[in-house]
Amino acid sequence: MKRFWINSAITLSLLALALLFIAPILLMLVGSLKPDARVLVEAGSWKALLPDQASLQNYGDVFSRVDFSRYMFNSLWITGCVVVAGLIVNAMAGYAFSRMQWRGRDMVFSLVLMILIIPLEAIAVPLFYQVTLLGWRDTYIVQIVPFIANAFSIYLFYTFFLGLPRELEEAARIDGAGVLRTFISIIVPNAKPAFASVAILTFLTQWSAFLWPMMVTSGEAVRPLPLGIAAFFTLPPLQWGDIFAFGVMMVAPVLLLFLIFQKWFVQGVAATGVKG
Amino acid sequence: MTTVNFKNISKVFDDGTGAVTDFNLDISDGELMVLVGPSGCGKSTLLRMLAGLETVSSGELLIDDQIVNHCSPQERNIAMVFQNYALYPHMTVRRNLEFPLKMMKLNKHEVQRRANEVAELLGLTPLLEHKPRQLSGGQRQRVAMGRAIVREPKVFLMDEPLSNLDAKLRLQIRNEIATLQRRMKTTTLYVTHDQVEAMTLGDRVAIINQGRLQQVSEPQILYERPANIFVAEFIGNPGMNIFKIALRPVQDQRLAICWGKQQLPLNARQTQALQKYIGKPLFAGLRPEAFRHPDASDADAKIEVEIESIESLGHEYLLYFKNHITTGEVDSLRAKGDNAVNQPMVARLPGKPDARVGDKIKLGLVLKQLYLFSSSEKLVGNIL
Ligand SMILES: Nc1ncnc2c1ncn2[C@@H]1O[C@H](COP(=O)(O)OP(=O)(O)OP(=O)(O)O)[C@@H](O)[C@H]1O
Ligand SMILES: [Mg+2]
Repeated sequence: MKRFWINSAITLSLLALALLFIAPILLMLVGSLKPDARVLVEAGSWKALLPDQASLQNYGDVFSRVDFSRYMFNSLWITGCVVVAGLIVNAMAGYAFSRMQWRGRDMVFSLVLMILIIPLEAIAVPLFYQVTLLGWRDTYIVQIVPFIANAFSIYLFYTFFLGLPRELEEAARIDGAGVLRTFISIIVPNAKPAFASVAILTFLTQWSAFLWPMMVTSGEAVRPLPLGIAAFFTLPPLQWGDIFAFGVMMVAPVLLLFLIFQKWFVQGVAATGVKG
Repeated sequence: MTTVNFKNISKVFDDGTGAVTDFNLDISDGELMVLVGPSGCGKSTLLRMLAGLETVSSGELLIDDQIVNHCSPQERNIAMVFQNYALYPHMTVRRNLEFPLKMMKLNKHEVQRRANEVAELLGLTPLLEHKPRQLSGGQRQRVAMGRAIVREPKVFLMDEPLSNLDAKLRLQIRNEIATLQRRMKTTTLYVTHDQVEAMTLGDRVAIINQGRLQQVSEPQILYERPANIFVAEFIGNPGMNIFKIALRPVQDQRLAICWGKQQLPLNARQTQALQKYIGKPLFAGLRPEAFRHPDASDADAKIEVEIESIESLGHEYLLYFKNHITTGEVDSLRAKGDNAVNQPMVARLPGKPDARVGDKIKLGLVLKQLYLFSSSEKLVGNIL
């Protein structure tokens, strides 16, 4: 009996804690369904979590005030390209560093590791000059190409491949597969967790990219979602309900992706020792 | 027709480890050659060099009289069974068997036919749709074998393929491998550290120690005429007893072989033959099988020993006794020799033991079976 109370107490306190973390998301979701005027007024009270008179009015507003589908498409396209190209390039690089013998490998790899500690903000301005010279301003390419090769992703693949049994590749080589065939047929299928981790991490970074798109684009044509939501803060009148609605629609794909790949992602984190 | 030749092969790893030194071995067509030696002697390295997984530091490697030093693994047309099998975990047994065939770019029909054939041969047909992790150790081993033979390669390489199996299964699969190899007549290089496996399986056995070839010949010859002390101690279960001896003159200008308190007088002919070794260090070797009950009819010498321990094997027993060699007797030549001094000697006797630990008993000896080794550890002969 005593045990029951202890367990209940623990469960309740954990629930409370969970609520604390989920609250902002819940606020956003509920707020997005409320008439604009009530969002701020009720923000400080428990009513903030009460969606009476729910309507999709705000969602409609978002579409009428900005070209939401444009932003959405841009974000999906840019992020998708970076993720797919990034997986290919970084996996191959990681493989070359972990398993192939070539002159200067260790030196190049230490250079890659050095890049790990350079934040984008530090090189944003020179990079900006560079892409301007190339005439890449206001394009998709400028938001994709610089982010394909990624030191962290390479490192992640590198550690994962190191952990795969060497005999697998050796068996494949002896069975008559070349380097590329071995990579595609043997390595990739056994590295799903690594691919999932890199895909999700890349996706998250790209999905919320703000600074760089801000610098190199102007106008809605090629801008991604984070710049779209920012536009609402500068677009009078300031409508919190609309911002929330925009936010919900922006977060939804991320959640969906995470739910789909959750199993692999957890495996990947366990296998590569990377903390999210 | 496939022959394999190692010509003066050496291997030094990047970190400076010398794994193989000046290794020469000719393997003839269809032969099952076993490489055997203690852990770390370079067996795997030799195999991996032949497979193309490891570069050759110097020397020439020939398959069918073609130098293959710089060929990639897939150009060599060999197959390998790994110690941990290295099955592709994401593929079913069928896909595993088909993989090498697909790499040969055979048509789909042929791929399926050959995979089915091999599965049938190895009794894998009911397991074709299983993944490797759903198989037992023995079944995995068979799949690995199947993946190797399905291509009908020029050479099979096997690196301790049985070491992950339990004793019974090991025996069974060992026989299967032998039968399969004899039927397919594929030149095979088989690595093991187990001398029993080597002796029972090999057409010929190459014994390696510290990266050097010690002796290569048929199993029986290895047992009967070991080229040096290492081989003598390595082959046999247990191996040969080795001990230092001295030659001393006794009456009538005859010599006697002396160790510890033991003295074995020699006849005139034997004295003659050993004359030139007087004053030089000599080692003697006696197989455990050379000992007899003291009253056995073929025992031509007797020694007195103190029993250290007894291991009964049911139909026979092993008798361990003190090696009565005083170190002062022959100068210690090498650390190994001193080791031999401290090791107990062992005799293999039929029946069940009738003495107890600590007892002093007499043992008969068949002197014909005494081997003599010179200081350089080479076999002088069993001249007696
Ligand atoms: N990649 C490597 N780099 C450096 N040294 C190595 C490498 N591979 C093997 N060696 C060394 O070479 C020697 C021979 O190794 P090898 O694996 O051929 O031994 P082995 O006879 O197969 O032993 P075991 O019976 O334990 O498998 C050992 O001393 C080992 O430490
Ligand atoms: Mg080995």
